[in-house]
Amino acid sequence: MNLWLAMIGMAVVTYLLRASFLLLPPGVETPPLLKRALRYVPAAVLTASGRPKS
Amino acid sequence: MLLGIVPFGVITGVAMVASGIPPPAAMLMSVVVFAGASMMASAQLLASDSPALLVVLATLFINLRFMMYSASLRLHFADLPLRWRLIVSYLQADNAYGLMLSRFAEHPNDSSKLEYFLGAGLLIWSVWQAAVLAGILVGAGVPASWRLEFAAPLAFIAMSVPFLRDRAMIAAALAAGIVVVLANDLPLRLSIVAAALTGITAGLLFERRPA
Repeated sequence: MNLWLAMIGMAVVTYLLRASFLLLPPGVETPPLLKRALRYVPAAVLTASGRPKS
Repeated sequence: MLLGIVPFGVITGVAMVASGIPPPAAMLMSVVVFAGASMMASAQLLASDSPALLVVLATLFINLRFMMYSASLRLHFADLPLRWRLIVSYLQADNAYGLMLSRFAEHPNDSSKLEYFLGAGLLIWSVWQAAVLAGILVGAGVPASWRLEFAAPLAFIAMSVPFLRDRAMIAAALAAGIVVVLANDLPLRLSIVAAALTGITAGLLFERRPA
């Protein structure tokens, strides 16, 4: 049960993140700070997730 | 380029099965989520009986980068009909995005951007799913005593290396790495969240400011 809830949640969250800006109506600008911060997400998150289980 | 996807897909498949996800569920997850790093992290979390909410939160953080892709794809695809934007959304992957950016930088006024993205995206999607399936089949046949948990940390290290292109990126990765170790004792693996937020802040602080 936990696995299925997790899977549905993961699918919904991931799709919404992918669709986010593509679904905004034309003419809406991305805030510059958000744009800059999003650049560092991959480096920070992938490094943090690389910690082995303890 | 496609060669890079295969080992990562296989490792993701192996890691999911090794952490106790039944093979059919692992394959279904690969199709509906289609994001390797988050599936690998979720597999680790599920193996330690973490609640679904925490798994979804971890996924949210790891896949935040898709929001960045979405913001930048918007520059090229904002005027397309909704159904195409919904399909482009699903096909977003690190490699498809990278390929597309380098192509569109060379040909900014290309009239076949959508076709190019869909072609690259579908090819990457197919190769990825085949690689995950192979990993799931391999993982299901491996005795539990082989202990494959080390595969996930190794894969994360391999994935983060290509991002370390400038000072700010390296600062983001270093800060995140240090904090995730220091915050190891936080409950519910909040160390990952703390490390990610610190890393993003460090990246912003170490940016070269335009003069």
